Amino acid sequence: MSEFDDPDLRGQLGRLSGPFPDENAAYATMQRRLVRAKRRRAVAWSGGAAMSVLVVVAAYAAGTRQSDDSLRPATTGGSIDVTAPTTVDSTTSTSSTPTGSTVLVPVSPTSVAPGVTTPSATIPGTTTPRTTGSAATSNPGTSNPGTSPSTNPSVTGPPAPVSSTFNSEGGSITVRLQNGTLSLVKADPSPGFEITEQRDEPDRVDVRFRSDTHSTRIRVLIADGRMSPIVEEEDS
Amino acid sequence: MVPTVNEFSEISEVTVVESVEALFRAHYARLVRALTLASGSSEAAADAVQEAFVKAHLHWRRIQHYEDPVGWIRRVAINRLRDDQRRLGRKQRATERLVADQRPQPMQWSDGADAAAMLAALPRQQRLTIALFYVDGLSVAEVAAALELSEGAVKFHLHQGRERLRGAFAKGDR
Repeated sequence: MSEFDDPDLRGQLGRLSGPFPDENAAYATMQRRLVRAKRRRAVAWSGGAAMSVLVVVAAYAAGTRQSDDSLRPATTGGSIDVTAPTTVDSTTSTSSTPTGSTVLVPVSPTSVAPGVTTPSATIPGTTTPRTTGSAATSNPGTSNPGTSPSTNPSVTGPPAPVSSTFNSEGGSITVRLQNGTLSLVKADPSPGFEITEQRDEPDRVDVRFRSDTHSTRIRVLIADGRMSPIVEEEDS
Repeated sequence: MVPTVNEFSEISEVTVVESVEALFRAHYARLVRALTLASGSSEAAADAVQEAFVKAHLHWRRIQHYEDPVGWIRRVAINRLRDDQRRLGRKQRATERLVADQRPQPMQWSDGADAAAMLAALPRQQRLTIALFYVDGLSVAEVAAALELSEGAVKFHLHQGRERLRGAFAKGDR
């Protein structure tokens, strides 16, 4: 009980303060305001989150690119900067003819068919411009895949395209990787071979060379953002 | 007690809605009427109180651990009302400066009695004190907490205001 309790004054002030508001209507109004407030907050948060993601992605991309550039030496020609598989494809060999076998051949200069120019890869980001591949081809009809122009590294803008040449007994192909998309630049059959199938898709390039006695299939896929070649040689 | 992260995360949206709605049903009407008496505008009072409940909902995971969540809501509503009145006051003064012969507009009360005029003439702090004590039904200590005043100051405002209003009501009754 307070010394200021005054029922008369309380009653008169109660009349002055007007009627009791409609609670249900007021609650509904409050709910609508709440929805609007939540929406405003969600927009603000999503905007902030999007900005954060952009910053993180940009920082990551910058870091990755810098790391890639530092790991790649400036090449002067003759070598391929790809990871070649070293396993035997047993599933393919079971379907091969009795006289031949299908083998996944490591892609390296040693796998180059005689008479074909040593392959070369165009390495992006290197500051040393490439000149040409190793030696001139012994077959005038076969162009040198290593002479594909190298791309100039750029400090800003989208990632520079990567071009690599993959050689096999049946021929060589040059594939470009740009913005995560593969494209076939060139396919050169070795003497006596011809191209029997050629698929050029964003995520894979598949070329088959065939002669009377041999067939070669070169597939290039994308693995961990890099080109991953699979070369199958088969005697028929 | 400082709440842990787990305590925050365990509260579902349904619980928040139910808790805030319960408080709304229990305190909305009284608070709106008190602030209507203090401000002279039922719309402004309702707007301030609703805004306070919206904020309570948005921050419920934090303020539910407060000793007096309703006190928090009340203070938010009062602050909102004060801000609105300051803004309106500035607008009114600016208008008065532009229109030289315009006289200040008296506050629009729900009743045209002398008591209403007397109430309007009371200092704003005293009006709020009277309204919270007699209409919202708060104790002296609660009024002091809501207005961030000492209990002595609240008692002073109650004493002064009651004396003035009693006279006005007595005059109106005659």
